[in-house]
Amino acid sequence: MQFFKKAAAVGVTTALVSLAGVSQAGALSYSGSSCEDVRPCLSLYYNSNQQGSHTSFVGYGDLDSLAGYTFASNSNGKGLPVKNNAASAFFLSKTPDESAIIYFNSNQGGACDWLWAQGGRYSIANRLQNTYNENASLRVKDGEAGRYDCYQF
Amino acid sequence: MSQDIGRPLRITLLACALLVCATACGGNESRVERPTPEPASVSPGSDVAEASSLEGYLELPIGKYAFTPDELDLISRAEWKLTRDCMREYGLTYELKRAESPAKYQPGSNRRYGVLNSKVASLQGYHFPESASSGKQTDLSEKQLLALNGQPNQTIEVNGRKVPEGGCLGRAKSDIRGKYTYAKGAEVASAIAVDSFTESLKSPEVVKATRAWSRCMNDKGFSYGTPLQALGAAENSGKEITKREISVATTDIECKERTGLVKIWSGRESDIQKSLIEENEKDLALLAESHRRVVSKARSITR
Repeated sequence: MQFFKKAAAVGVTTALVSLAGVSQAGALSYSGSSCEDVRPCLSLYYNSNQQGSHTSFVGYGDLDSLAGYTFASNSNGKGLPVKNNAASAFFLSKTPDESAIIYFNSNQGGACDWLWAQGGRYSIANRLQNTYNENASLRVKDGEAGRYDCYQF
Repeated sequence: MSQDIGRPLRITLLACALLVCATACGGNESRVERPTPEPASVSPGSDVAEASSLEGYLELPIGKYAFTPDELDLISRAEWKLTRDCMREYGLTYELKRAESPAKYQPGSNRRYGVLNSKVASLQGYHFPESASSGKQTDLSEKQLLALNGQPNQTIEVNGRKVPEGGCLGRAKSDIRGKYTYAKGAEVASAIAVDSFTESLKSPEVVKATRAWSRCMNDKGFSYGTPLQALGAAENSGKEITKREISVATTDIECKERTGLVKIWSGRESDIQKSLIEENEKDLALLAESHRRVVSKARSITR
């Protein structure tokens, strides 16, 4: 299902500052439109089913807020803010245990969506049903401790 | 899941409250260095802090439909075995290391209701407690990555063999969870875990308790409408942890204890979840049954 966003505010796009190349200390690194063969790599898409523009983050750790990041690849939604706008995700890992969690709120707060490691159609979130339009922060970890961070069903 | 982390210990928290007041009244804005994570050290969860009594309220009814840590450990072992076997089929090694024991709860890491652990907050403020498990695995070659992950929407070969969808990891996941999990049930359970949260935010009891928490914070000189607003505030999310941030975070917990916010919030969420569980009884029963099949399959692989 192609899922287009309400947020078509063109003015917002130009006002946003791209954070390309900037990474927080001990945090996930922004890698723009490509994973650059780095794993784990979490890509967030503007549309559901991994459609539209996307932006990627590599490595382990936390991203306290998606504020300021914009969709990077050349497709629908490019330049729009990622925060509260990602509809689907794809997570590439290099072990079965690496997991990615997308939270409702900044600083890993509130409810969450948990993504298991790369596994064909089962590794993806075609629709971030839980944090859709709320996604605010991320956490990628090595190890299956996700059970305590976010229920796994 | 049984976190077995008990109920509120008022005496301990009162002691914490006094400590917080002493810190908060200082008004010192000087910065403290954020501790450097040591990936090789033992879990901070076991050495730095224990789960707090407030964290006991994080146990919610829908949790009984989630995989337990032991089950996840078993599934993980099976997936590692399948992944290694698959990589061998492509003439490739796969020497990455797997954690040997089931993961334990890292105190302070579940922030569904904001910060709940005063010991962690007194060190980290609102910053996420560093995890010993967030270490780094060794790098893999381009060929290994292709066999491991495949290439989305492309048919590729490695060493003359066609790579399955999602690569070796994809096959391992699909062969266990993918094949046996009742997908609709997993979606229903997942939605309940979140709908109860969003619904609870509108509940009159939670709104009232949140206002009381906000007044309590205001009395201490901190102006925040909700605990999640305090958690996500820019001044509490900087690159460095500030003394003010620590004061706000510890006062946040003290006010939660004083107003009973977490108990009320968790109680409301539990009620909402129980009702949703009843409405979706059939799908959840099928989910539980499918989980038994997943676990059984994983056990057969690890034998």
